[in-house]
Amino acid sequence: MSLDVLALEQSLQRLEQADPRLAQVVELHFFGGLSFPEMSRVMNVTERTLFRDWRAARALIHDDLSRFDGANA
Amino acid sequence: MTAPVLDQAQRVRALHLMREALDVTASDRVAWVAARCAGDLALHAEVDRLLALDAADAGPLDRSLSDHAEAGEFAGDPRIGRQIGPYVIRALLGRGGMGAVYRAERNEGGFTQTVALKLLRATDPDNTLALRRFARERQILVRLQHPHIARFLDGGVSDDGQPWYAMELVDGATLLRHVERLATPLPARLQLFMQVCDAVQFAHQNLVLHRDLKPANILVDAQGDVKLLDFGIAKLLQDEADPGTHEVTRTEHRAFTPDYAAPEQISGQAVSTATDLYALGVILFELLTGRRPFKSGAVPGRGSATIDTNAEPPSRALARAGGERRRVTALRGDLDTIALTCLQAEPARRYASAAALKRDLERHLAGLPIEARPDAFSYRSAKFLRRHRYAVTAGVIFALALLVTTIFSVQQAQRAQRESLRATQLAESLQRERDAALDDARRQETLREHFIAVLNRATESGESIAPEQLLALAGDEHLLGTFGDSDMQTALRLALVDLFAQRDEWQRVGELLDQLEPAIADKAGRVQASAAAYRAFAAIRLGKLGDAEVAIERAELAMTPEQRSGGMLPAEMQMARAQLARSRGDLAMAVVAAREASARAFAATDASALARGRLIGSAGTTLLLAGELEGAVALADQAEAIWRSAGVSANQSARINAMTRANALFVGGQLLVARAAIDTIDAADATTESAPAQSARKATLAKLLALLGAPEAAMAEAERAIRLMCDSTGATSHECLRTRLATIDTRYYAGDAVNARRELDRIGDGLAHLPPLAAVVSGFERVLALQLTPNEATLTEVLTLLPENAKAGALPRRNAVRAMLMLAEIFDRRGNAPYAERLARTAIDTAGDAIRGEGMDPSLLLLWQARLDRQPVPTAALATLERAVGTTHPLVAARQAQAPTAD
Repeated sequence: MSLDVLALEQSLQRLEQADPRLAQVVELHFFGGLSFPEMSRVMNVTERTLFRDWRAARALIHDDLSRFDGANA
Repeated sequence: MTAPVLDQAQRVRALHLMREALDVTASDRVAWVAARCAGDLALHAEVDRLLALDAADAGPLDRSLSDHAEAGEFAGDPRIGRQIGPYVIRALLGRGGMGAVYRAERNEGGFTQTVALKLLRATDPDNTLALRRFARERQILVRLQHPHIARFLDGGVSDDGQPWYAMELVDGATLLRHVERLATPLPARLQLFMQVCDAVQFAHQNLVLHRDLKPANILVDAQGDVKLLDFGIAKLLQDEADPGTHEVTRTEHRAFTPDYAAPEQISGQAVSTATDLYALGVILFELLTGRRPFKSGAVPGRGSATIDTNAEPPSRALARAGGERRRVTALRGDLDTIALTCLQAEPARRYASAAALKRDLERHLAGLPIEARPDAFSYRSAKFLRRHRYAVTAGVIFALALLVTTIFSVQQAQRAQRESLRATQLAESLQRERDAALDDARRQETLREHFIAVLNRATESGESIAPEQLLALAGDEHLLGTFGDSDMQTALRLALVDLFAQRDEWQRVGELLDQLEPAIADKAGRVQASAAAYRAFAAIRLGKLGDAEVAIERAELAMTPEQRSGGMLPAEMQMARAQLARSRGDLAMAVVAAREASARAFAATDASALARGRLIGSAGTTLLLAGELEGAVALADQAEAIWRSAGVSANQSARINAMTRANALFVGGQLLVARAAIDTIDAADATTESAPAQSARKATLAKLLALLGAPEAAMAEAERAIRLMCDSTGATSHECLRTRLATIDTRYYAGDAVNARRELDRIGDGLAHLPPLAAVVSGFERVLALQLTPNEATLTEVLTLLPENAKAGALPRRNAVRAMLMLAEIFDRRGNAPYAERLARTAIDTAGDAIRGEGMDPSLLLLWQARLDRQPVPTAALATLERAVGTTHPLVAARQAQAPTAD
């Protein structure tokens, strides 16, 4: 479960192109360490929406990361 | 399982459906997804896959970044150990929104240099936006060579095409950790903070906003020197209206740190230097008290509910936290005021600059009184502004009307200048002024040759020739083509570009540049830089602000080191930035840039006195329009002095410059001095001056005379102004109507509201065709309604409208205050003291501490304040008023009777 920074960055960029808000949620929550209530304040989006965004973003990124591992294996 | 092949649109759609599906109860989900995908198998499969992934076991994102870091799990970064330029990457230091920063080393001759190396994050080559941002950050850092900003060392592009740059690696602790660890005493903390102010001021002077100032970005090195880091989301003035605006905005939203972000930044409004000042306030607060001014749960400015939350004074915060009494006392008063001034919700209420903030801290440390004042008004005004935003916008236009003469005469004078250039002067000024622009003797020869050819052609017919025809000949391709040498061609065309620029024919400037630019791609940097500079000015004038910004950047890049190090071109580029900022409504930035431009022009050695003075004079105009009156007068004087010492005082720009000065004095309320200045201009030879320019000056003079208590003379000048303008431009022209509109307040200042009302009625129909002036007309109507039909309703309208107008900026504020003061005087003379006092009180509230100095208005404010407080007439204020308007002025006479006598 180590973190491949490079793969994560690439995945994040793909995500950003698909839906910028999802990428923003990852930036704030994962990289920035902001809680959902905090993000809700900053982005003016309800916590509930942000939580769904996070789950979607997480799903996509974990998918990308596992594939990247596979490609390198 | 193989992922289905999806296009981007399907991918996005799948993401949406997946998120919606999360809200559907698990038992219904399968049916729900099937229904929504409506037979799109690829889409259906993708949504299912995403839902499965969501349900899957924990992955790397489920642990926090710091957990990963502690576990040393950043394995797999293939950049460690790689060679980038002359550096070898050793370790990851941090990661930002855009790139990663590594510790890297360079070995040379047994000496190891360690640097911080920033690489753009792994990016697909199409991501030009990221590349551009990265390049911009690099460019910003190159510009910011300052002892308290982490130094830019080197940059390049790696073998695989990744841009990078190296910065000084600061070995130290963050500002807050540093002071906590050493228990730094208060004065030393303030000294450190003042170093931060220096760095921020320097960035602002270079037109860079940091936008993410926070203690983590401020390090103190082993020598105890502050180093400011991370201009990752800094922005250059010219960034706005970027083609990629919304991406940049998005970056802003995710990038800044909420606790240090100003209200306007959080709510996504325009940011300015004041935004950085706010962050400095938070940092200062934290240095003083060890805590932040707002609890995390109460970030100010988000939404509408909390914007009014002003921070509590640092001393109170410290006391509440159980700080020692001695430390609390040290903060009470000045330091409370200084910190809270930075933390004002309304940007205009904060310090005007980081230098001003630092100055107040210095004054405090030296035991001198500080300049900021505690002020409860801002709180109300911020609320008021928000409630009346629409009205405020309309108010800008109205306020322009009150001052219409001032701005109008500046514009008229500029226009007049180009109209009055006559054929012979044209050739003369070309030779004289192009000499300065072109440092190459051969180019001067070329030009002279060309204009001899032009003049020969022009005089062939034996008849006189209009300037326009002469210009057409000058730009004639046949004549231009006479020179074979491509350098000469370039020089000549640049000179023509300059000529058209001087005449404000920006469309033609653009056309000429269109031809010129492809031809000079291989020419020297300085040639390209000049062409780009003209392009920038033309684009600003033609309203293409995005193009202007690109051109400014191009000029920056093309400039040679000699040019950059202090020639006239950097001054002109700063002036272009000032105009760009003005066009975008950022007057604070415009003033900073204009001042910088004038300082550079003052020191430039590669330009004529004429050109240097002209640039300084136009910087003065920028200051005047931003309401920086003293600065405007100072720059006008400076331009005049430069011309005088070089023996070129009688040039085409001198009258405009003198008029800038006179207008600044007029707006500032130094009426007698302003009048003397206008008399001097009038006394000079006016044969080359156009009727519109004379008209504009007469209109200002009329207003002055009316305010000086000379109604007959005022009306005579007003009529002259109208006649000059309307005769030369036609009775139905916009200029004629504007001039007549500009005499409305002159008329009622001269005591004849009935006449003013009648004149407004007469031009009403014509003005109906000029919708932008509709708000102006309705503004005058309210002021006149109060005078002609004084009752509670008309008074309330004025007391509501004028303070709203004042919020639009420094000039509108002065207009509104003057209008209310004059109305107060009118009602006082009529014996209606209650109305007079209500008007005066509102004028005082509206003025705040923004209107000070030697003029009529500030002294009247003090006199009214004393009267409202039922105090005796303050003699110092009365003396100031006497100097501003004369000892026999009715305003003075009325008060002398009540003043306490010295003997």
